[in-house]
Amino acid sequence: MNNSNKISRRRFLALAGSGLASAGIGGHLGNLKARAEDTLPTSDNSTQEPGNKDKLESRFSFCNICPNKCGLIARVQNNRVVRLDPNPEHSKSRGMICARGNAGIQQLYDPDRLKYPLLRKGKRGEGKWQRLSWEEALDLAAKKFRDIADKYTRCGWWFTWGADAQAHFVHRFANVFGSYHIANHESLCFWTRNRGFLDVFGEGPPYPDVLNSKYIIMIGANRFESLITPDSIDLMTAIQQGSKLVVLDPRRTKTAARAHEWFPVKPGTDMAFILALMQVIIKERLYDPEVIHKETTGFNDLEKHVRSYTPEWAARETGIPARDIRRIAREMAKAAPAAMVYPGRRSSTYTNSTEIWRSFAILNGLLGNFDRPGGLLARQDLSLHEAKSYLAPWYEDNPKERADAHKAPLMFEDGAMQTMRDAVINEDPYPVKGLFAYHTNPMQAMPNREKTRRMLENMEFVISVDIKMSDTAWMSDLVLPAPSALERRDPASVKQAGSAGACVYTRDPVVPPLFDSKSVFEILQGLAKRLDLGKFFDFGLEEYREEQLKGMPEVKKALREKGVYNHNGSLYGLYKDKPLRTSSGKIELSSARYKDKGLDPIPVYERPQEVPQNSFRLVVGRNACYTNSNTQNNWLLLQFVPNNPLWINPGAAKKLGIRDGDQIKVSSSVSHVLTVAKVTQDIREDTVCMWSGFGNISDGLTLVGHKGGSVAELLEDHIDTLNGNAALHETFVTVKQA
Amino acid sequence: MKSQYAMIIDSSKCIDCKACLAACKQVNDLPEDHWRNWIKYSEQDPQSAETHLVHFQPGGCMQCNTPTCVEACPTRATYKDERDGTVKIDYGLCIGCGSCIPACPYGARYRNPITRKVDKCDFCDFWRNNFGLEPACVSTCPTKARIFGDIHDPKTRAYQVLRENSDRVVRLSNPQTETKPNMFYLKNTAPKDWPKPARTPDPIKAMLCCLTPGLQGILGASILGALVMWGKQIFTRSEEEQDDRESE
Amino acid sequence: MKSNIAYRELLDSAPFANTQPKTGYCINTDAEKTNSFQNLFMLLSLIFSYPDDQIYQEILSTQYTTRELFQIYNRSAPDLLRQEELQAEYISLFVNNYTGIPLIPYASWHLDPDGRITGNTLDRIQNIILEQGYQIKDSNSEPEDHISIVLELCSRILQFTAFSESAPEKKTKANQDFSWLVETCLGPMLQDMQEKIANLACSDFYPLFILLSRDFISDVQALSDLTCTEKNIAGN
Repeated sequence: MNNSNKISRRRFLALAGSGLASAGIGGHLGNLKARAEDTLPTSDNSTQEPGNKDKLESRFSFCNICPNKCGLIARVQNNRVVRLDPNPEHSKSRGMICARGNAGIQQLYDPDRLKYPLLRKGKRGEGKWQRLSWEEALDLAAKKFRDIADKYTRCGWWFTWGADAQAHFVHRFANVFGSYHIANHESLCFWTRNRGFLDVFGEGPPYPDVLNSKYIIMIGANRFESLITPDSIDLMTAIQQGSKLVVLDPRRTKTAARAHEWFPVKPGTDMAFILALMQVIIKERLYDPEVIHKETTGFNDLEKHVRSYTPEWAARETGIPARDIRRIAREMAKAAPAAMVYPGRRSSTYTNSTEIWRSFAILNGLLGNFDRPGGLLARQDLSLHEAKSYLAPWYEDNPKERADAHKAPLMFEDGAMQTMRDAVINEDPYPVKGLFAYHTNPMQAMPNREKTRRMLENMEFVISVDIKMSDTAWMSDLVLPAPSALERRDPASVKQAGSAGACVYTRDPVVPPLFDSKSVFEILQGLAKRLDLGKFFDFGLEEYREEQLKGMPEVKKALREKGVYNHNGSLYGLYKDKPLRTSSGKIELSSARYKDKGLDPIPVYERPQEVPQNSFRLVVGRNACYTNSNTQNNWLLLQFVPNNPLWINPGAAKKLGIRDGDQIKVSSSVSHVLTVAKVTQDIREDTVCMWSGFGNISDGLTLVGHKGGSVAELLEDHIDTLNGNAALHETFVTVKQA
Repeated sequence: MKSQYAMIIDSSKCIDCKACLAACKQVNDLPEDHWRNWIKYSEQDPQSAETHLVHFQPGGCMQCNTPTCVEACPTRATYKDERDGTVKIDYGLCIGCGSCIPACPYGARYRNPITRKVDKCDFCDFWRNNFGLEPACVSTCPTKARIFGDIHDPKTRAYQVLRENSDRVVRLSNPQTETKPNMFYLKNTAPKDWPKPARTPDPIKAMLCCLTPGLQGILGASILGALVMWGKQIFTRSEEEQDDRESE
Repeated sequence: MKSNIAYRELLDSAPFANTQPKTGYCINTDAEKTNSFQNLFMLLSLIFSYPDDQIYQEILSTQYTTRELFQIYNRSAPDLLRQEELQAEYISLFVNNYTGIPLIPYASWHLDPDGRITGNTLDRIQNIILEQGYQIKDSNSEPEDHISIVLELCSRILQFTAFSESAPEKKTKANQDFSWLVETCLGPMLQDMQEKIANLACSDFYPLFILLSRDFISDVQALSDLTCTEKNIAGN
């Protein structure tokens, strides 16, 4: 390197030499051209004055980092977002944004965000890319759509997406393109809850009126860390107003730490607790017979069914003392109907999760809280017009059914991720060779990552539309850059909001899109044109939105002036004198439909598998500072959650000679990862926990600094037997020093 | 009547979601791994029935009425601004000596490695004065645990809440250093005994004795300031490192 | 005597704090020397641009100049990779990579350390572009603080620092802007990049150019006196 301030005469003359002078390099290239106007900018833009006091504009939008979609006000200065504030008018988000919401600015201005269409050169996952123009990218993608459709029918393509306001356009495209395959992240999450509650109430699920509930049993849900609006906020308000919170969780989460009572329940035994509560309520006649008679069916069957599920029996299963179970049942019944078993959200836990959640639903039914204050609420009747409606073409050569049809008796029509993955890997019943993934990351979201890798290897063409180079994008053939929430225009969407009713929200760009990003709507439009499907996408988003909101001037006005439309309908009594959407028209404490299918009409307790000696059950969890695999490279959020150590109980750790901070190897039957131990009292001795979304693709071989270990790598491939939803708590692991 | 901006915090509502830390860092362009605010937590008494409870306590610079950081500053860069009651730092005078850091019982001050001067919460002064926005930590909070306002103005909610709760409000102090903080905690906040006594390093004490207030100002702006800073660095580097770590 | 500087003013002035306005550079004592240095800046600008067909062609056709330049710095020039290989390497170093690109080519990332690629640095570069009579082409989608654009801007501005036609104020401003770009933007950015290249799994094409650029920028920084006196150029 040159020494301080001198340059040698020889070098200076060589650099200034005539050879280089005449080289004439790149004159016609480069990114600068002469300015159009003659005049220079005024002193307002002068380089002397950094514009810290320039005008600040405020623009509405809503966050896209997690499914909550909190309303926000972006503060913009010189076309740059400088601050994000919550939108105080937004009834669902109650005027808040969380740490991740604030980090949205980092996401917008992330140097690692996807910038250009990229095409894989070299092997899948090797990381050799070539930049394409949009024309080239869309031409290539369209060709691949056609090629795969020609070889394997249109069902040779699978479309999958995450929770996003433009995701339904992917669904539209799948429909008009002609593929049945739309299994998506929902089957890794809450299908089992939806199924369980749908089959009891005809609403899948109903929405909890947390704000007005006086007694809340929260099982596994961790609302003070796994934030859901308005529930997380309303829960705190309710507690402040005297409501009681009882938490069952193998970990002392922050929710448990702020609850009135916490029971470190034995994982997988929650149904025993619920059945025993019902046994007490029925035996001691703590229910409202009129409500039961009028609004439910199957009570007699339920009464017989729970007779033997005593608190003493449940105490042996769960580890919760019988007298507490009895007491809670009485307290809960006393608070009824403003008492609930909180439905939760992620119910991807055990192979019998549908039945576990159905037992939650049945107890709620027994409490008579449906459609009443403090209980479970029906869906608000707030809907927008179906804009640009279409009739999807019919494709003669398509197979009769989805590739994963009938893999479980109570699947939802979309198909499930894990069963689809098996179908792809085995090419059974027929090949599925193309994948279009938007705002979703199967490589981190699905258990048994090795299988997901194999699934992608089995594909002929994988397209990822994302804002960052996720694990799935890294394994794709074509990666297309999408803009962040703050750069987008979106159609209007309705969101049900529990105690806050429902709301309508939309987006308009706060700042213009950076780099070469294009929204998935534009991408699909470009593809449609090339595939003779242009007529299904021949509109702009503003036009689409106009049609959605036709004849709703109050909604339009609210969106313009407040950034949100809060629906002020009644929360209660929506089913007064109306039948429920169940086969009996009533709340089904016992399900004739299940019986007809040869399934248990009322959930039967199944003891979870015993944790083998020297092993632990691995559970996954959540923290308020990260979202799935969306945020692990965020500069701001990494300062809160730099990695995902393995939570392990001190007694268990001591037996293994492991101390807090030690590097450890965690092994399951499918793989292993290296990570760091967090020795804590906050977890049961038979259980360990890791947060999801961390860890790199070549895990198990090196401890990657602050990036942690991948839970997806470790988890075995279990699904709910009734429904096909993922079962993420059925994996046992061993732990030892690395 | 001059204003006194203050924070009234109901820490029983805090769920340690870190939104306030994230928002503050975001809008104030704080450097990596340094914070103007914090959340402390306390466990319950293991003898009590509710051993699972944890109490979270958000905090930040308390904008004290008799600030010890101001006393410790050799150049008068830091001062109590009578107009709004906040404790400010004039960066034209701050020489980055860091004497104010151990002088704060709350560990609210830290050395910013980018600007190489001291930094702390200023109740989002820039946003408040130029654009009328609340401090970011206040607007973002999911459970609205923070109330911010001028407690000398009877029309504000802060004033009213403070008055209604005057018998239950807690000001955290160290018994040896009463600085009259302007951060008020409602409802049995915990932990309570963490503020430390203010410390002024000896070389600075000696120097402060010799300087009249007028000289202090000149000191800040002159080359002497730089010399003092270097001298200070030599004497107190290890103390500061310790303080930086402890204030996490 | 400065006083009453608030926190935000302190932060906003940070990217400008270390700039001592220069009166001129030795480079601009005559047209030929200016031209040479313009070409060198432009060459480096192309190297740090995505090697699409046009750029790759230009890199190919300037290989002789490149070799000369490396020789001047006593280094052997790296072999030019095939276009597809070079494209893949460029992307994995400067555009997108698993767990993040190792070499972030945006000045504001290095100078405004708040985890974002925009900031006061970008503002100033945008203003310099406009004030010097330029604007960004529509075909470009990178922010203006991308290293290739900063290098190109330096190349363009050099003509205004030349003694021949510019009015004195224009020349002074060009000198100031040029010195800020070189010393405050390019210097630290290349220094940061240089520190990261040791552990990279790639060919030596970009690492060697980073080292070369780092040295070249250091030399340009040394040439900061209009009269080009001996104190800037060591004897020999």
